[in-house]
Amino acid sequence: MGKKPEGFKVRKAGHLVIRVKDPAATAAFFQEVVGFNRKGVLQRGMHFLTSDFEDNHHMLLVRPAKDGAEERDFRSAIGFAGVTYEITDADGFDRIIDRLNARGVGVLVDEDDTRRSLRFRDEDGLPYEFWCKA
Amino acid sequence: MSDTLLRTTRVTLRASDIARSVKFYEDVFGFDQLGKDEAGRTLMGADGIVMLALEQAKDPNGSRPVVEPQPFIGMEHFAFELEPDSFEVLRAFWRHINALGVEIHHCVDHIITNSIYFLDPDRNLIEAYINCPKERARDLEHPYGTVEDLDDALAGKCQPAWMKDYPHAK
Repeated sequence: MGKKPEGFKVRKAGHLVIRVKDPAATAAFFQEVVGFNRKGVLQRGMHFLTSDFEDNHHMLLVRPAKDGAEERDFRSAIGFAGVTYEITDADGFDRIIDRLNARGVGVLVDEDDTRRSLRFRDEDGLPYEFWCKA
Repeated sequence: MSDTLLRTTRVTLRASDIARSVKFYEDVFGFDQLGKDEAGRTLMGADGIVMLALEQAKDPNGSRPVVEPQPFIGMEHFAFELEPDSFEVLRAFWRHINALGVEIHHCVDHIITNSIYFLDPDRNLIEAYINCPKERARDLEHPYGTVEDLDDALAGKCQPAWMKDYPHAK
């Protein structure tokens, strides 16, 4: 283990910012399925989403892709390969699965003695994982 | 309050050269290697808490992330929160990554945070931020914005403009 840098520490993973084709639709999807609150929308079409503003001012920021943006295959491309959020109540986990199923979104669920997780992709193919303690 | 309480856990990045990326995040953030997950990804973080997972790309010569201001669909950036909440902490981080030769993209006052954006070896845009005093944003309808660049303040030439209204801030 190398020498630690001095003067700062990383407290936590903060937020993901994504560029998508239809930010209003993507933000609405995450509000309705995951239960995020939308704290603000700026004129540039930026949707700031969080579950608790006091604890984390934003967890997901959805922005419009610029003209000419090309789709990527997030299954193989170098770079972003997924983001993971913890659900801190078990009811929330089941609620998200029900909402994804109701929308016909494909969801992969893994469960073991310690952890339950669900994975899905949004309209732009971006991968997400949500998990909770079993 | 949301009907579901959440916590951002980690981002997963696919690296062209995983050894290079592991060293980068060890050097830049002081992250430890915290083992591997069931898919063989290298888990990294601080104080035993995983915040980053790295996996090796099958094609190390594949397409790289497109960076602002170019158009793309996907991750614009991922952010890590520094502590404690002090501008001196952000200055220390700025000096640290400058000494490492990290490519800094931009540095800005966002009202709710002060932030440094930089590029990792695969040109993923990463943000490191400190939280500003909460009372600065509490009564704003839109507490997120871009007020001023912080280049001179981070270099120690001046204090960020917002600090004159918050004399208790460090």
